[in-house]
Amino acid sequence: MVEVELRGLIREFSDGSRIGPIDLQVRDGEFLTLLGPSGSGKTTTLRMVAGFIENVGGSLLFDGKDMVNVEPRERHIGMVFQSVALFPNMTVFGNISFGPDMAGWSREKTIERVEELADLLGIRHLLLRKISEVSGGEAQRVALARALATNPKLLLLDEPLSALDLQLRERLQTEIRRIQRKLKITTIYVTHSQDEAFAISDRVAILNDGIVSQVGTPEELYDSPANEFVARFLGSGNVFSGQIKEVSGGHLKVLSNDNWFEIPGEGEINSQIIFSVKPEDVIISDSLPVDWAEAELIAITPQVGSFKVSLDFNGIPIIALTYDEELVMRLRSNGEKTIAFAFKTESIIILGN
Amino acid sequence: MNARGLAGYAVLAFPILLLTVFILCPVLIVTLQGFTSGTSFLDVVASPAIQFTIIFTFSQAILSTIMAVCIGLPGAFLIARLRFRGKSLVKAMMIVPFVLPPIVVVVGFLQMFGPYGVIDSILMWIQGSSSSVFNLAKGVPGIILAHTFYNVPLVLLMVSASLERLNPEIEESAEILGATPLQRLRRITLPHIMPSLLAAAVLTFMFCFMSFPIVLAFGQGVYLTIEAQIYNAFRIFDYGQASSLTLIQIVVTLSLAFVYVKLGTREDDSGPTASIKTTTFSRYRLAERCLIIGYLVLIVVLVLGPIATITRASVFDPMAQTYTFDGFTNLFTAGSWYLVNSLFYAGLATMFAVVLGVPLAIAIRSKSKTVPTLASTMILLPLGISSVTVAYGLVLVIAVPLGLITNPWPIIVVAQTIIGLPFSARAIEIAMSKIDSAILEQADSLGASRIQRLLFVELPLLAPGILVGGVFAFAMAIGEMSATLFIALPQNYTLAVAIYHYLGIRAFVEAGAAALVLVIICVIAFLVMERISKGSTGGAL
Repeated sequence: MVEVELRGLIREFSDGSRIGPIDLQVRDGEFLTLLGPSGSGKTTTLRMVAGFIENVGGSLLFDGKDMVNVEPRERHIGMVFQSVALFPNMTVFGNISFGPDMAGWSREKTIERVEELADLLGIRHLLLRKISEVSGGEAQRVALARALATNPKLLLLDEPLSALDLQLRERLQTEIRRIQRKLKITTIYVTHSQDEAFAISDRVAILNDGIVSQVGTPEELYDSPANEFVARFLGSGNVFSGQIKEVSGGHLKVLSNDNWFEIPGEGEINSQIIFSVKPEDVIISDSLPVDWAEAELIAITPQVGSFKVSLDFNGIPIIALTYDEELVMRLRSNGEKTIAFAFKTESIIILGN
Repeated sequence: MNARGLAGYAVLAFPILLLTVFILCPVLIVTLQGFTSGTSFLDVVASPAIQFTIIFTFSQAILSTIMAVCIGLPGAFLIARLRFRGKSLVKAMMIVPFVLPPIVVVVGFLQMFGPYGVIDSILMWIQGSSSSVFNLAKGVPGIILAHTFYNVPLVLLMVSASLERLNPEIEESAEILGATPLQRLRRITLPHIMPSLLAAAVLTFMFCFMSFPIVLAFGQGVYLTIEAQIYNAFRIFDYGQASSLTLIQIVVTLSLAFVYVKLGTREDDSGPTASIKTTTFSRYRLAERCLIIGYLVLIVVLVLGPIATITRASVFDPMAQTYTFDGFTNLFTAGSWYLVNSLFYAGLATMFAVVLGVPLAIAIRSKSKTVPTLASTMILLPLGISSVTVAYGLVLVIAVPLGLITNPWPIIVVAQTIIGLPFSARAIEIAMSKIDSAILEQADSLGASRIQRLLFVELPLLAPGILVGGVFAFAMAIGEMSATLFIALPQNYTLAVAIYHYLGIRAFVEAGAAALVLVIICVIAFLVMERISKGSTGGAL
């Protein structure tokens, strides 16, 4: 299909804020998701790729060719919008065949293509309906079929599922992924939902304040966040900051929140350090061992296969995962408020200072 | 039915009953009477003069509608798509022509396009001529231009509002699917604005179809609308002709009103409101900029020009070609009664229009099956029936039996109330629809009785809507000329009627001075409305 490269792409707004420079490579046939909080520049980036807004600096390359001065309609892009944006004055068929019509396809070829896509998405029975007569989930399928009709080289999806309920959203996620795999079309997907991004993508680019913070597979991002923002945003890590008090043989003694922690790593005495511990690497105990830190128990939430335990560590929230059903029963029954915790030392991730 | 329900029905029935007495009965009686006396319907229709009037009425309305759409449509796109400072002010100003009385517009047009007017003076200066060389303010061009002036803002506002409702992502979808700008316009944008464009065209056609003061002033007695011919027929006591013409007019206007209402319900299906993509002027190419500037000049000359030149009309005497304050002097000495009459009648009419407008609006929103239809029909009637016919009906059925014929001022107030009522009721109804029903339920759940709820919750929330409705009704009443001209004896003349008479005796500065006073009153009314409703008066139409 196409390989997309964003090289130092910058967009400035009249209020002085700006998005970029964004550097990002999307491989041929890859499903890449732009993930970030609202206002981080996901949609702006996507719209610069589509050509709806101009960049003030940098370049946008499709297979090495600069696209900045190419009109959106000549970029061979299929796009699904947040508001679905189906043409209300046409039928479902009219919507899907709009692209082929504009490209001047023959009637037979158009009908064949529309029916092929309708079968692929399971919307054949809807073809003659008006847009006002299709449901939310069906509208998304029509929008996807419309975007794919002229065999675009690149598919852009701008939070297409954000208006749907959870069950429908999960079903359509797998469907989008199935179709993308089948067509091997390069795809850029925008969402603010981490679950959605991780469920659907080959790789995820995390955006913060107009800059790409980290790019990687979901596992890479989860296991080794590159910085504090990613760790906090993904919620995978409990983030702590402290001061290094002792350095000895690859181990640091860190004072954080009036408690001592031992961390493997290097550093200078009296410098600040930020580190993160994933919930499954936090161990909890109700027997209060001597050199463990203590925290207040806030809540226990049962999850599939485990319990999520929320703690308050002198104002810092900590999430721990436990599989110990007996421990949970004891905590629940004796109304104990104080609980001890420690980290699996080898899995602490140093994020910087 | 319990006592409270009965009282409720009485309150709702009261305005409907009054309207039946003051519109339906007089108009029906006059019309029926017409079919038993004077010229018969067939003779009327067969008369070549009447045929000419009917054909002229339709063709001038069609031509005016085409002009208004052609000039208004580009402006609608500009308003919707161009980002510039003072845009909301420009949009608000567009409402001014609606509150300007047609006879005032006539004065402005004479001054802008007429002999020794602004354009004529410039041309005379260029050609070094000492006599008039240019006159567009008469005959067919004058009528069409004045109608265009009135309706361009209507097309502009209705279509630009519809454009602003178009989800920009829909156009972007078409763009990314390969549609060129022209294809987008034809396949996406035009279908989207079509209902509101048609609605604007139907309204424009209706206004022009029933036009009276403008045709009377510019038509030179030859070019007449059906409405003007009805006026003439009553004046020569040919009731048969008047009734036949009234019948033809009602059939046409009611069909148009029906089409308009149908279009309105379809419009509601359109998608959610979204912020539209706008561009600044500097983003356009040179050729496009020239077109835009040319268009703005046209709008300034056609729409702003006649309003602005009313000031010149009040001090420039085209007969003597001098500047003078005689107009004001004469108006405020011999003609001071006109202003007093205007304010007195319009003030009373406004009061009645509001008092009747509230129960009418409640009736329109009531849940019963027949009451809302009945109420909205009653409100639409004054818009669809010739005001000259209403005036004649009132004189014949109310004034004569009550012996009011020597001083028919109460009939003028009734006529002006009828003219203003659709506007006050509509504004109040819009305000009602905006009240969150949860607030009313909250009042109920806190134990408020129905009267308490009305007095302490609903009416305070409605106050801005009632004020806007009242001001709108006032502007309509004080500018009303057709019915007032028919009813008024010299001692009852209002400013609007006085302007018509001044023009008739070629007292142009007096007409100009009176027009300027009316403009000032209307502009103040407009500013008050703007202030209260913070830019949402467009909905009152």
